[in-house]
Amino acid sequence: MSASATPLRILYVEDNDLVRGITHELLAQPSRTVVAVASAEEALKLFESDVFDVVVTDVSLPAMSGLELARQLLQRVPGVPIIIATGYRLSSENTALGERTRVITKPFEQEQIDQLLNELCPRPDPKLAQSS
Amino acid sequence: MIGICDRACKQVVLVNLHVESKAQGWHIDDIFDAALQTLINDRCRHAYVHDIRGRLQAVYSSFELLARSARQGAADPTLIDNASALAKRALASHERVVLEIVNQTVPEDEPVVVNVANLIDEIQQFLRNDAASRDVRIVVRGDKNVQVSAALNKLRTLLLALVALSIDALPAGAELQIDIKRVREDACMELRSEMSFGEIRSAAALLRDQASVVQPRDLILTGAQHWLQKHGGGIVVDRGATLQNVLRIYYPLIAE
Repeated sequence: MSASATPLRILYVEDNDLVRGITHELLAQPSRTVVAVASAEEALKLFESDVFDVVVTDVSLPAMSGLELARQLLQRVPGVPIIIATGYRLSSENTALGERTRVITKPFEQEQIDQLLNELCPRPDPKLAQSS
Repeated sequence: MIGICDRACKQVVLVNLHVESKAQGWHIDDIFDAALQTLINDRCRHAYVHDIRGRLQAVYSSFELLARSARQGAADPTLIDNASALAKRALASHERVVLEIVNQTVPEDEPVVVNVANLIDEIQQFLRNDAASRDVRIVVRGDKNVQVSAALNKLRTLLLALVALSIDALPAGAELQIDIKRVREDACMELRSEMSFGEIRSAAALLRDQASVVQPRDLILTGAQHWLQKHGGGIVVDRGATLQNVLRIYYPLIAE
């Protein structure tokens, strides 16, 4: 499989079953692989054993918060792209987590999250890749 | 409704409450209610908004899926059926959370059976971002089958306020332990915090002291004590040798 055909691997963290299920469906596309988990602890464990291109996380999680998860992931893999999805208005202190961290406010639309994913993890245009 | 209540309460609490308010016809219970509700409204409005927006995300996403399925669906109608079922679930869930919030803002006095562990879980859920933003972790332990008969909204508000005060008293990185147990005929909720309590003043002492300005925290503690004692319970503060203090909240167990 060529690099351009490699699916984008997304780790999605959301504790609400319904939101996780529906948003997982929404994020899933032929060009993406989405792995959804319910807690920051599960996400950290998975991150050790698997490779992800980007992490999309809720802020309000059962034990460790999404912000703390982001901090820990950035310590392990500096520069890892992270999208923080939140229903809260976050302070600038909390959102200043690095150049490749973005905040998206719930409820967001597919176009908005797609834009952020493309911005953080640009993929070669398959048509251009084929013609070259 | 929340906004109106908030403004009214702030007039009571934040404009330096004096006993003059009694002369204007305030009953002590009203003042305590106002103090509790002010704190809770201030602390929990973000949680309310968060819950509503979270469920709205499910609604938004399910409609996106429905549109996507409709675009692709000529070959497979089950895609549309599935997306439609998800949309209905999302809307039902949204309705549920709005109703929960409405119910929480309406004071009621009718006692209902309350499972204390479930109530504390709900409170933890409600304050979890609040705690996370202060880098405090809430750990709940103990008996899962302790039941009391109480006015649910009142008890919830009161416990929310006490847990919120305990969170405030902890340094970043600390743990707030909440233990649920039975002590003789009472349900007991223990909050281990570093809140430095003075004596919890009685309602009568609070009313007598016309010179000082009452801090919201003291008013909440006195109000909680006043309400709990009226219902056969109370608060006991156990000052530890270390920095940790234990706030024990008692409420009579449901008669079996």
